[in-house]
Amino acid sequence: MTVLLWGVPTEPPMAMVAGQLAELGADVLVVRPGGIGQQADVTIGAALSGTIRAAGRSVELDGVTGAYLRPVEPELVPELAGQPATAMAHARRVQEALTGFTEAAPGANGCRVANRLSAMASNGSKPYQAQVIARHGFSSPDTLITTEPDEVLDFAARHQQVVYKSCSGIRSIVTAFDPVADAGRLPRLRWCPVQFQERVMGPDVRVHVVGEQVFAVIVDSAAVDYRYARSQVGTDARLRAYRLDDDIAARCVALAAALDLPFAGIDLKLAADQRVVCFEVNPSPGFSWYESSTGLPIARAVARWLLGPGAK
Amino acid sequence: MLLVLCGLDDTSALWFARRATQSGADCTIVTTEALSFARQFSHRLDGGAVRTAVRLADGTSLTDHDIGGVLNRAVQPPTAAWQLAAPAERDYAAMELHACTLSWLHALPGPVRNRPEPDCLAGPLRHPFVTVAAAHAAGLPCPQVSFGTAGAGRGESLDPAEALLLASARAAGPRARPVHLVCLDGVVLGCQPPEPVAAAIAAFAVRIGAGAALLGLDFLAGPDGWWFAGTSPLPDLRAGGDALVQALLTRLAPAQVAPPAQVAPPAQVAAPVPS
Repeated sequence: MTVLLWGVPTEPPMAMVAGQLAELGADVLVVRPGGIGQQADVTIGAALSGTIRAAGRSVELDGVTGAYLRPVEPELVPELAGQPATAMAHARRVQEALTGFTEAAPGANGCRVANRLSAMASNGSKPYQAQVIARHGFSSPDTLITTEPDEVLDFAARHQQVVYKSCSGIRSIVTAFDPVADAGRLPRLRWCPVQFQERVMGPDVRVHVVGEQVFAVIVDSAAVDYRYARSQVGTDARLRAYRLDDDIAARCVALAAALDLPFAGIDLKLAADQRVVCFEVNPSPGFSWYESSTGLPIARAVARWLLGPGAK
Repeated sequence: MLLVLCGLDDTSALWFARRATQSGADCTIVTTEALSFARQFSHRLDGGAVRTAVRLADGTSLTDHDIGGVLNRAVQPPTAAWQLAAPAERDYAAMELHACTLSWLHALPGPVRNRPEPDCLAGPLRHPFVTVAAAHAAGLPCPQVSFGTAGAGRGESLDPAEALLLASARAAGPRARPVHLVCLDGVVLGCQPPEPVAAAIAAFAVRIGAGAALLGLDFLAGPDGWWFAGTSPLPDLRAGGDALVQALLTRLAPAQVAPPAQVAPPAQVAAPVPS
């Protein structure tokens, strides 16, 4: 049995999972997005079969029992820049074949995939995710997505503090809304609705769900967006391991499962009024910062999950 | 109001709207192009409840209360107003508008065919390999499909959906003809396919998560039978004829359909105890 790692090998999450798989003695095949000389051929009918050639060897797909995905589009791979168009077409063909394999394999042969690219799509709409989140018993921040400047001012008047951020999967810096300073920009809303949310005060908790395991980290920072704490408040956020209430942990596991995400990063906020507010579920969590700051064995858990229930 | 949401060139949806109106339905057509130039889009999520109000340039109001049922054929987000913008801004706006449209249509309290999914606004769109596996499991006649780098030398398409179509064409033979079926909630309307196709379609729809959806099914009919060739969440509704029109009108009438799972109020959960 072989575990497929599809991503940039030097990227910390991929490197950490690869390291843990090596420690566990797993056979690992790394496929680099856009890698020159790689091949992938898939045949599907009553069964799923085929071959991947990468890293100087060939692996039969019916022997691939786990796959960890953090691919990037071939068009974004630096080593393909300046190559002939045939090289890009070849890389695109590998990408399509691996996408097809990882989409079909869980149903066809029980291969463990974290995560299927189709399942990652839910993060493309934060308000859609918020509806799923609410059905799992978490609070969501009061949210307004609008093209109407007056609605924003009314919304801001009803909440002590308001933030705005993208509502799609595009990464944006969570920013505090200032009704006075931002007033001149509000007419631009006419062109595209913007998401405003009540600012929920309290510590952030990032929960990594791996199968049925949870690893929680609590964040100490005064920044609006703790990922950018140094630029926002002058000091980095401090992270430490945190023990989640069993009920909340179970809700996190159920939420990730409902979104078809065996590996997920769930962003919670422990509000002062006892609400546990959930902002989003990240389908491709960059967990390395949380693990290196706290020592939580997230990569180890991902590696074990990929190897299946028999893994030590 | 029965809302038909579709692209400007969706003649199939316009055909349905005309038939629905002739049948007495209060039918309003809104194109994604018109939606792009809406005067107002307001979408609120508050304590588990979702409320949306849209006001179009012609004054048409689309609130949750106004909309009874929806025939959703919106495959693209409403980005017409951004077509001349700089590419980076246009791409950003497209992602944001996709996010808004998905959330709005997902939350509508009345019946919707198809309710959008995160990776396709128009409803269930599965990878061709997933549909092939489901077809085999359900008993639909389906060819084995190969795709990958080996096909490059043979000049084969970069699109797995075309690989499926090509495999089906090979299986059906040179005299094959295309057949397009419309399937509503697992039932084919307007056509009686031969066995074993007819018996397998309901199970196939369930296997791809389209058991409660409007689905197009493509086959190639050869001398030895039909071969599965692909699916679409945007079937040509005309293939379903009047039977489909009446079935859709029944499904999209609010009183006839149980409301979708509504957002429950969040449970009050105790704050975690610091370790």
